[in-house]
Amino acid sequence: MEAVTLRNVSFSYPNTEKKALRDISLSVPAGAFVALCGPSGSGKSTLLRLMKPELAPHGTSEGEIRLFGQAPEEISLRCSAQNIGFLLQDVEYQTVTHTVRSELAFGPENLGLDDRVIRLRIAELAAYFSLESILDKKVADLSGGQKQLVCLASVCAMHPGLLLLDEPTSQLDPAASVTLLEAVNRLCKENGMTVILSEHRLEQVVPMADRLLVLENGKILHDCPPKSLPAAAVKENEFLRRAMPVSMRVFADLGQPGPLPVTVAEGKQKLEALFENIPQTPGGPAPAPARVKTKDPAVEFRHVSFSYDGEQFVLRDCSLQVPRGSFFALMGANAAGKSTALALMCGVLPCRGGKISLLGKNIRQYDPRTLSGGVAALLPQKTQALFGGNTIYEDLYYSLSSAALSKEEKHKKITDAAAFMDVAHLLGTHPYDVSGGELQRAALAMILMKNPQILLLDEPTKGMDNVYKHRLAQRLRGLCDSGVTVVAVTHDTEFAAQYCDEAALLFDGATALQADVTAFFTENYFYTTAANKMARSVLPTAITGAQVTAACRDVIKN
Amino acid sequence: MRTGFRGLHPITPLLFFAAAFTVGMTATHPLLLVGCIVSGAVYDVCLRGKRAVKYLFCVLLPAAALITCFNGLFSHYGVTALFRLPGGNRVTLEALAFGGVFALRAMGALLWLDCFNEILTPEKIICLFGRFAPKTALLLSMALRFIPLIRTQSAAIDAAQTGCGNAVRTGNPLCRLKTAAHRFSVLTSWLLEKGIDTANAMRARGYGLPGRRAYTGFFFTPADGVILGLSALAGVLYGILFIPLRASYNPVFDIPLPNAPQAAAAAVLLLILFLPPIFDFTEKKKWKQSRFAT
Repeated sequence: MEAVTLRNVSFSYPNTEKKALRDISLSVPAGAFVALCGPSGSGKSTLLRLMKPELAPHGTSEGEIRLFGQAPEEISLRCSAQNIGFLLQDVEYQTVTHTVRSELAFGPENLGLDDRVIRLRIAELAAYFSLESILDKKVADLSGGQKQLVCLASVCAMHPGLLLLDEPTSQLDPAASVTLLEAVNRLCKENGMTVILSEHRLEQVVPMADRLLVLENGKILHDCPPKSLPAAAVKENEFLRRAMPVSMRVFADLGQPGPLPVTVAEGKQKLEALFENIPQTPGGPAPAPARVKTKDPAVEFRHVSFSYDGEQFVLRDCSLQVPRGSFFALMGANAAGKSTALALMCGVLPCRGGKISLLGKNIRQYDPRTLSGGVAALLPQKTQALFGGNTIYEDLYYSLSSAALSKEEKHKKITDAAAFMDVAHLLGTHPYDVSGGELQRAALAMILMKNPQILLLDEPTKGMDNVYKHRLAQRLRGLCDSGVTVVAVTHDTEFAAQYCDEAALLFDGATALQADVTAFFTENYFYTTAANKMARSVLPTAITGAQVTAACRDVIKN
Repeated sequence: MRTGFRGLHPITPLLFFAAAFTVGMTATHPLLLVGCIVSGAVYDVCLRGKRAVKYLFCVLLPAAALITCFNGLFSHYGVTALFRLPGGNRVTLEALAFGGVFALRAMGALLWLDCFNEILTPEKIICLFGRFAPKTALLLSMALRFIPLIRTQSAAIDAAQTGCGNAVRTGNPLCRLKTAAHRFSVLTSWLLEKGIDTANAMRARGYGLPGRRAYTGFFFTPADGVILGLSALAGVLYGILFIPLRASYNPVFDIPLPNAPQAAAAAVLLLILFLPPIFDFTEKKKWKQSRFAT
């Protein structure tokens, strides 16, 4: 039976000329795992929401939608609640009640099930998702990953046949994402649930999926199993070239015959076959020269310690040097002290133990009024925290309120910064009407107006697609070239390997390793990029897909 | 699932504490008052340990002493004059005693209220509401979810605004007020926007269907029945004893001595007031010793 059938579906939002979806036809058999991908704004969310009657966007739609053989208008709220589960991106606001137990009960309560049945459902879910130990915890005390797992479990409490997930891992760190995606995969493979999932993190999703659905500009670009994705398509399309798993990217670039390897393991086998008859130079090719020339630090931590509550150290004797003009990645697990280190660098938190120097001067000697923002400025993880006005312009204007400038000068500053960050056309828009990437650029414009010498970024790539990440990195590298030091806290190993100069790993509140990125990732075995994991047996110092491809080209040529 | 009073169905401790609280609030006879306070204090210490001892000796007893003195200094009824104040007014034993009894009543009620707070967690209160006001119960639960969320959200906004230099932490109050107002507007737009997500998530899970039920994870067990019965008995006994054991302190002491059946009834009532610590202790002891039979 078909779970979802779409025939020539088009959709446009009110007051827009452009169609969000154009002529979409697809049919998803029950029990399939469909990965939906495409650049931001390609219509992924719109498509998913059309399949859930209560969340269907307002606008005009054409064509025919059938969910389990029924048109969406015919499906009652009860039937939709039971059969179609929907998981949103936001982990905080889709939980409704205050404990895990009551959250799991919420759906069945709405259906009016009796206590005995609800009790049994909770028992089942707790066992299946291993939630026993957190059943009586408060939702507010859970980690982001746990919250999203609880949301998934509470959607499954209704025993849905179709599970729709809209970028469910965009706010999670890599470890929590894997846990969530594996749970979804199990639901599909073990229980026969139909899964349609939109995702930016394709490295993990593509190997799980039976089908890959690539959307671009509201149209289906490809609809096939991941293995049959044509190499030429990956090579030529910018989104696919950046977003596909590294094994597929490398072999698409090389143009070797045969299907593309989907997992790291398959890629590794293919690479080893390619290098079989090549005499190995010990240690592989010479590593790329370190990109940082100067050793003069822009940020220096000497034996810095910090505690929030006086009981537990968050940073303990942490020492760190960020070279001037470099793009620096600060990495590590959750609660390793990364965000605390950033807050210390820009004076949001006071330095009470050890010594922090910015640009060679003790942080305590700076005027507190110019330190935050003027010397070191922080781009928060959730950029909504910077916007509260009716237009983006209003918020940018507000952030200049303490500057001694005339109205015209302020206006010029704002338009210049907006033009530099490519958001000039959005200045009159409400901050919540633009995409996450656009709002992040507007926030960067706000920060750059104050000309900070040190730019601090908290998880700048979270929830962003790879094409956007690449453009962001280009801009940040441009800033580095003009002398600004950029420090980014990130979980994104691919991003750090591709664009950063140096990286440090924080663990237990201290620096476990600081090195230039090549040395950093080749020294690590688990905490490294997929490209390095795939190629380390033949190319130990290759850490990005591009490096692997280049080395392979040399081999093929000879 | 906890042993003892904590593991009971919420209705049981609610009614028990209501009975104990009523005794504490309304008793006038020193025997009942002291019994109620001692039992309340013992249970509070059992539940909260050091914190309860601190509460008792650093807050309640000094406050009681203060109330007693105040009444003695400012009320002058009664027949037994102890001494005269410099202003010429008398300080009487009766006024002091009346103040003391008033303070003890407040103390008894507060001690039992403390126990109530410790035993009836928000989940249990929500469960009680769920029976007759399921919407209110859900609202309470959602409020408990959103309060910490708003707190973390505003902390995030503060850090973000400070970190990018949008802050006037020093300087004239008007500027600082403006900063606060701006942060508040950021918070409200954020909450309103995200509220749509919550509404969507609720709707997607069938909220709004007729016939919503409130699920509670609590059972009514035989132990609940016994303790509820004893609470009811305590209420009845107190009702019987209320008139005969009414003491008055103005203008003269009139503290009735109970006769034999009254004394027996009072003894049973006081014993019931000591039920929670006894029940907790026996359950703990009973289950602590359970091992595989060897």
